[in-house]
Amino acid sequence: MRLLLLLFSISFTLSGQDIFTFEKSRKYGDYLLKSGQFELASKEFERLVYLSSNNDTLKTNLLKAYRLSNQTTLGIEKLSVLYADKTKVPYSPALEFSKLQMQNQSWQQAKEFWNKNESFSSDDKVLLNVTSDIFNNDFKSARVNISQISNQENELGIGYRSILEKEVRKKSPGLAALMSAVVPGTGKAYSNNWKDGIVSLFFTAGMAFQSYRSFNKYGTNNHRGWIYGGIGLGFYLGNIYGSVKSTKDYNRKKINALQHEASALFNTYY
Amino acid sequence: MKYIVIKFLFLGLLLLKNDAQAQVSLYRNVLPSGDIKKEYVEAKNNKNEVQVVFSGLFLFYKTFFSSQDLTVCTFSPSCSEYGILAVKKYGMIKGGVMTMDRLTRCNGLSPHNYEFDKTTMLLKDDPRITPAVSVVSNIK
Amino acid sequence: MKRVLFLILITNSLTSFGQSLEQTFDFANQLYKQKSYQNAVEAYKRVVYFDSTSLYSKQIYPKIADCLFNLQKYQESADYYDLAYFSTEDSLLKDTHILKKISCFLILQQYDYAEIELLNLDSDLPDSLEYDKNFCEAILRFAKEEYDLSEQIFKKLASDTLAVNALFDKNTKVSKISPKKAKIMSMIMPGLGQLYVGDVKNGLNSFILSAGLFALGVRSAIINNPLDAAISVLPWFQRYYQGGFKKAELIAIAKIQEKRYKIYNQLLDEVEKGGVLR
Repeated sequence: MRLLLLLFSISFTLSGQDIFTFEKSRKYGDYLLKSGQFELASKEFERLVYLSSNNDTLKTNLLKAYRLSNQTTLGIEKLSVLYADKTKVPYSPALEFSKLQMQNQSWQQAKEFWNKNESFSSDDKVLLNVTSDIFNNDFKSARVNISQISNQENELGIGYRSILEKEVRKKSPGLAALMSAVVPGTGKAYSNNWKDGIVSLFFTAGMAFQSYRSFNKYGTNNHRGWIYGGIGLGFYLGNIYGSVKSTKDYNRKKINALQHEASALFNTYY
Repeated sequence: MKYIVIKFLFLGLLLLKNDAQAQVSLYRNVLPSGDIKKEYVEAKNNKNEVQVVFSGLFLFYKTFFSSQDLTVCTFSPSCSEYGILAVKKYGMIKGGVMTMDRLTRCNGLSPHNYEFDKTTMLLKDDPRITPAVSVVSNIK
Repeated sequence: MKRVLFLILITNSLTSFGQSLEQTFDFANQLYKQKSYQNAVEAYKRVVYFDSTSLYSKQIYPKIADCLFNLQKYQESADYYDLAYFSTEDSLLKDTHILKKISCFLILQQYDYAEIELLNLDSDLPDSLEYDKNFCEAILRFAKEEYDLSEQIFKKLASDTLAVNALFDKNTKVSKISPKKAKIMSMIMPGLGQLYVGDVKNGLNSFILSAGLFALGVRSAIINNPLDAAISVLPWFQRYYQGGFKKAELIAIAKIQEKRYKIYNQLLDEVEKGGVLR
């Protein structure tokens, strides 16, 4: 097969306007990648890698095309075909593969990969660990990891540290639940959703008032009071649940903003 | 030999005929069909008696009440759809509590808390989806 | 498995076809003939990229557009027909591309774009194109509710002009249904508008719901007090009463659309019967 291919590549060099030569394919592949036609690009680079099996740039571009066309599982599987030994993957394809793993959200495999890889420096490993921790919303582990960095002046390290410092001001879902249990709606107000809080208070209080009035007027044997009371209880419980949810959403949005910040820093550094 | 030629001719004719038909059929739906009947997938695939009962209630509400209603809900899926989906996923108690919370949130006062669905012009709030942390989607 | 097949395909394409620009172009044409449109598009795109002297591009743009049309990617297809239009000098070809573009816009229900393109066509077309033009214009006029014009053109297309006549008579009757009238009728009495359009189920439903809530409100006002009734029943009544007459309007509009859709498709049947199409 190799021989056949060799024969072909010779025949390629002989004909001048051949558009499947290695060089032309490479040019076309680069164009596809740059113009955003990632799926076509992945096919082109698949071919190119097949033609020249020792070119790391091509392999990096192939992985990149897979990542950008969202074929992450295909890309991840491809690595073992491209490199026999995972620990000896050179720097740029290894970095590309790390991004693929992160995009696929397989954090454990990602960490295992770069920690065993020999092309990354120890600081690279620390930074990648912190990045994946932040993306995976594991800030505790991120704090432990960032302290292991040896170069204190590293710009990404400094950026990550400032992000980790901002993470502390979160709100407590438990407190929100308690507040809402005492006075309906206050839990939502606590998580900056005061409009929803007022509506909750209004609904619960309205139903409670109606129930109280019905019990007063018709006594406890009449169904009206119980129906109003039941609906009111539903709103009361729903409001407690909603307060917890709203607080969690508040925290999630805050963390999400930090993650975007981290991803921007990561992009400029790597 | 003759047989083969005839067969090919016949096939060719068939293909031609299909082509002509395909041409007009392409334009069958150029006009809106005016079909406003809705199908409620939410009420399908019930797994136990509770789900059957709630799906029944949901369908009853949808056919006899909601069909006569204005579009008042600010969300997509709407409150009743949210209810049946939540009960199916989390059970009667948690699903019910979630629905009560959703009813109070259905006030249109805080649109900034939700994603906007451009096709329906409504706010997205699906009980089945916990908003995922967006990860490195924008790595270059 | 897929990967292996893919590699085989590539190596095959390398061995049996296309190394040079011309061979790749021929290969793409063959794929096109075999109706393997997706692969044809990919091959064509490659030729366009390496075609520095624009030798093949002129022929390729309409081919890519055709492929995309067959792949039902009408928006992209229209873009490529546009490229094809600007890459040729031949007025006949230009008109052909415009007609295909009009088809794309019609299928996408973008009637205004289709109309603009229609104005770009030459006034005197050869018979084959004239037929296509009439076909598109008949549909377009119908979609834009210019029924008199549409009728004239449909009569040119179908052999059975009497049937077309009858269908357009039916269509005129549809125009008499008035959504506004349905709305006002439902305002006066809930459900009446729906009944007028012929939707008995929704008419009864709306009537029972609104009347029931009304009765409940009156009863509550008498037994309890008017304030109670106003708080508990009035909002619901308002909601379903208002919903009722707004829905009546919508139902009327949908009914008109449904009837027009049916007539339109019967017209297409007549055209299909009426003889050669492309």
